[in-house]
Amino acid sequence: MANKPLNIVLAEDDEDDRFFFKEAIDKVKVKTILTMVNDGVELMDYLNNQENPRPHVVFLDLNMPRKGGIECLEEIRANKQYNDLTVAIYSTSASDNDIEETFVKGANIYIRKPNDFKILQKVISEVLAINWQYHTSGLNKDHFVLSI
Amino acid sequence: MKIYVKYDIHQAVNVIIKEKLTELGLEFELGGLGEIEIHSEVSEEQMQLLTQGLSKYGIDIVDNLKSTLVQKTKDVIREMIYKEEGLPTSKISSYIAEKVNRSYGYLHNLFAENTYTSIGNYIIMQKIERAKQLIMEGDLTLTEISYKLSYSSVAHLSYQFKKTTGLTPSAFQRIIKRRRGEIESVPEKEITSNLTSTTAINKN
Amino acid sequence: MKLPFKRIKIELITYLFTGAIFILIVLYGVTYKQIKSGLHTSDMIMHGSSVELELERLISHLRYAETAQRGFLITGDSAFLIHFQKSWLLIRGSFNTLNKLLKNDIVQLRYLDVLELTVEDRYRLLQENMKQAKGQVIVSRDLAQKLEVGAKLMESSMKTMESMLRFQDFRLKELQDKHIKSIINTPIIYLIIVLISLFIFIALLLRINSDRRKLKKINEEIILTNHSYSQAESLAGLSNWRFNSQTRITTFSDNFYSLLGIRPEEREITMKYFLLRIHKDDRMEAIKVLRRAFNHCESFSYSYRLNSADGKIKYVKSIGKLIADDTEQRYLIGVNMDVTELVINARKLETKNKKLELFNADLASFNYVASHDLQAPLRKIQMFISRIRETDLSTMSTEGKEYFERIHASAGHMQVLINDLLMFSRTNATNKRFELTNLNHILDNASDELNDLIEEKEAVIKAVSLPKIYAIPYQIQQLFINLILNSLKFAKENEKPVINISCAVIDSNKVPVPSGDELESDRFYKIVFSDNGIGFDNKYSHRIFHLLFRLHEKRIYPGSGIGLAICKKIVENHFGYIEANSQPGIGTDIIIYLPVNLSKVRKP
Repeated sequence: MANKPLNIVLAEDDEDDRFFFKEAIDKVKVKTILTMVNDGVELMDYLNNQENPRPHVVFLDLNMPRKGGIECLEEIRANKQYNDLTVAIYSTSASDNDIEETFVKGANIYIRKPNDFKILQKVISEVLAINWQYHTSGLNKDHFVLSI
Repeated sequence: MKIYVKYDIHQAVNVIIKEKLTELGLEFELGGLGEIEIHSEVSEEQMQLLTQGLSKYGIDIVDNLKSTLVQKTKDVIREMIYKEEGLPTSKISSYIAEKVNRSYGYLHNLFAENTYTSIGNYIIMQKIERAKQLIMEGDLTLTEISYKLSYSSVAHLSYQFKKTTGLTPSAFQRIIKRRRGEIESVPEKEITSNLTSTTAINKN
Repeated sequence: MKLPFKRIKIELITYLFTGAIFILIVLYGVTYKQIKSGLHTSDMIMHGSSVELELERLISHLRYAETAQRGFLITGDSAFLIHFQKSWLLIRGSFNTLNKLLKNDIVQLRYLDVLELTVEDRYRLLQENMKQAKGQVIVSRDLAQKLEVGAKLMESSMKTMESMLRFQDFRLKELQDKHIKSIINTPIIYLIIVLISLFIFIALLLRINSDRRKLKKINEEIILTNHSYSQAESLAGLSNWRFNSQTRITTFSDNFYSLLGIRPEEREITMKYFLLRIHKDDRMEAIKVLRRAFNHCESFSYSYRLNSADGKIKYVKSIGKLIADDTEQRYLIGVNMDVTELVINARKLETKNKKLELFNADLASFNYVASHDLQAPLRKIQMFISRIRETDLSTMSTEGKEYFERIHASAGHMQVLINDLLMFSRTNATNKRFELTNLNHILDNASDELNDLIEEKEAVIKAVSLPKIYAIPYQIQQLFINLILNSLKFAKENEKPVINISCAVIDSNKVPVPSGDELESDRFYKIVFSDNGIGFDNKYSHRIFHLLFRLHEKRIYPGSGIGLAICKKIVENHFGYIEANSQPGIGTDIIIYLPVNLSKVRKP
């Protein structure tokens, strides 16, 4: 439902990037509750904790200390508990092949970190909107891929 | 082992609703389009249980007509796109307005209010979704798919596909197939591969 | 395999020798015949003399008989009777002897018969005379008659004997004549035979001489060849050996000694010694290989290590084969090559290569990391710039605004530079797979990517049908994108950009190849990207492909100067060539040459 706030989780180790993301998502029309973690280990702990609400979208940076994005992605997809989560990779530029690899490993969305704030806003809106559509319009989650 | 399923949402939803209502011992009548006529009295407790029970499935009880109309519009659009004969030749806006029995302008505004997107975008999204399905089924060529979804050319379909998903149809097909393990991934030694760890360490 | 030399054709010499021997035999025959005839003649002469003698004896016996008869007639002495009888015996004896002597001569025998008769008559008469005389009645007329008859008989005997003698003479003369004739011929025949023999012998001598000379020459050649071969062997580090299956002896070439690190004086090399010098790890296999080659008549090839006597380890490659000649003798022939240096050099090269590869990998990593890791801080700078522009720009001083705009611009340039560097490092990546790529699709994709810019500039891209080639798809796509982007970027201000892409097949000799380069293919595709942009001075046509080379100010025509370097790298990755041609104010042609056929090594 459009009114209920979306639970968003961001796994990002860089302070500035976290700052930008928070700023951008706050400005988006959709109501969101943002949880931020610093690395992969924290992310998996968060997800495994039953008390935490199920995120609608997980934004996942690839280059994180302790546990990186790919490892988390693989773990998430392997765990029946939450393997249908929408995972958006939020990372720096990579080649088309690398991006394809993340999709093959199970990512739904790949976001190249933009260098303009307005674009970041737009991207987040789009992602949330599309994700919401996929969940409410009976679209095939298996086919849910988006590369921005 | 893996199995693949196609599903009819409406049927599934109806079954769930029926089950839930029956569980609560309520007498009801399904009116279609998300309308349920409950004949018996419903206590607050029952209402809560019902709401909870249904929301588990993502089914929310809405109390206004608007949402129903939006849902109906969506259904009409979906039905239109998934028809075997392909899209209607007449103007789509008129077709929808006719089917939902409201003016297109009204529906357009309503849609935008209630969803995060416009009717136009929704149509595109559904078309691309259908295209994805047809691509994965593998029986039709891209030309045939473009025709079926009333695109003027393959280029036009590819363009919209790429704009919507960020990927070309072929890249999409490849990814899904690889995900399912239908084709072997080709290991390519790129410099990037051994760097993710380096950068991770560096960043710290 | 049979021995590689043919049977010596003995033809002429054999014939000559046979001829000579034949002549000798003929000579012997002729001489024998001569001698025999000579002997025969002298025999005949002897024989003739014997006959003559015997005839004379006969005559004397007859006269003796006559004399005896006369004596008896005159004296009536009985002693004369005894003489008379004795003479008859002698006469008979003579006749026997003559019979024997003349038994082969029919003519003489006839004469002899006549003579015998005559003599017998005479003798009878004599007897009668004597009988008559015994009664001492000598009727003188009777006697005189008988004496006359007797004399006549005697005469006729004498005549006969004369004939016989004459005939004998005649016979002798005949023989003599014959003898003389043959003797006269003999020297001539001898002369002819000697001449022929001489001729044959001279011919033989000449032939033998020439053969000998030839053989000598061949021998010299062989010796020379052997020497050169020996030299070649030592130069190439080769040596050979030959194992005779019957004698079970192995002959080793001179260079073998140096291979084994010993001097020829030190010891004799035997097959056993050689096999023992093979490194123990390789020995079993070496023996197995040799044995198999020998038993199955097949060639062999094997590499192994030797422990040479001077303490070094040598790497040896051996090849060889089994040779059999006509006489069922089998030789196992082997050639060894000292490849120690090759092996060592190869290893050195390998090590160097590995080092180089590692170095390259490091460099590429560095390149990539640098570009990649620079992205993050730059991005953040740009983000903050964009935030400030959104929120606080209006409150800044004019100066502040301007400075800020410049910061923004610089950040943008840096972004472009890093993007391009990243792209450049990606084109350097090794192990890229070549796939059959349809260039028309590539062009479509490129146009799609640049769609916004194309529409903005209202550009037109015209292309002929492009071929399918073996290429790295994403790199070719980048190439097309960069080239089209350039044409769009450097379009004339008031003109809609028009980009023409043409393609032709040309021979490799028309491709501008830097000297020393090996061409991949005999034919090339010449693809020209032709635009109507601002162009440039053609003297820069080589340098524009250099890294970071720029012709214009960043403000007017932004760009990193890496784009064309990337294009060049991509074209080179595909074993092709790129060049540019331009006229300022008219337009620019970028010409790419791509091989039509990649050698089989490159294809996936």
